[in-house]
Amino acid sequence: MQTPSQETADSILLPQTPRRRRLTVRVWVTLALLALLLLGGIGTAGAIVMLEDSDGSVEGY
Amino acid sequence: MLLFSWLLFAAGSLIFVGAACASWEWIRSPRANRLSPPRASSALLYLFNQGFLAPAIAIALAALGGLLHPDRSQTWQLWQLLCAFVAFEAVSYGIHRLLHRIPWLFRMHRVHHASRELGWLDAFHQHPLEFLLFQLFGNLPAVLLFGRAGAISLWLNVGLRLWTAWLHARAPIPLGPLEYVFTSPRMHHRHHAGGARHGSTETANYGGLLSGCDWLFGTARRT
Repeated sequence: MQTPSQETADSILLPQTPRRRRLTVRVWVTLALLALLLLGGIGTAGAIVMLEDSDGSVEGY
Repeated sequence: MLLFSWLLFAAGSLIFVGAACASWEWIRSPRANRLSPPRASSALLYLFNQGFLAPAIAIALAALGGLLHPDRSQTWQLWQLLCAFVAFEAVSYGIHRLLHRIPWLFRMHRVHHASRELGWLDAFHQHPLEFLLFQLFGNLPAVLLFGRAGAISLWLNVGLRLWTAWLHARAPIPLGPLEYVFTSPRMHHRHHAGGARHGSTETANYGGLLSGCDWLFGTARRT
């Protein structure tokens, strides 16, 4: 439970204007896309290494 | 384990390509992106085609390559990779034209043209038989010539997938004079706009990544 003085302090520190909210969304979406890019890249590279190290019967197209 | 590796390859490259293309759409066309999310059925078709069909085709082609060229090294050189890519593009062009020309083949290809509003994931909205046609016959010339491909072809494959998805992504851009060599996103969107109906005279730009065959056979349209 926040006291009135804390609420005032929060609203001064982080005023959630529509502009700021849009900016926050953009930052989070960008971070999520970057994380996915990294995750997908690691997964793809790992899979190719695993296929390369397999018995040699399947090595791509 | 092998099947797991292939599934991981399919899922990993889908996430990688998806994140790259979603970033493109997010930056270039954020409003359109919010309006209509990509279809889940495209992702399922992709995982089936790339996770199950692709390894089956790869096994068949690797066996054939090993049979024809038992003494060859398993890893292609860079020039062989380039030849394989050009051969794949040329064969794909022919298959793509047939898919639009022959009615029963177009019934299969219609699946790819079903989307009203094109997005990156629509690149993979392909009938499994169509995927089989492209992968089997597209890769056949190189396998007949050079034998088995190495893992390097998988890296090329990810690059090709990324380009193909970008061709279908929202906010298509022209590529200027590069369009005499490469198919641009705007050229490919033109293909989808004109090719939704069978036998349409508006159908143009059949090329996948390279536009050379389109220029050679008079099917290229830059606007």
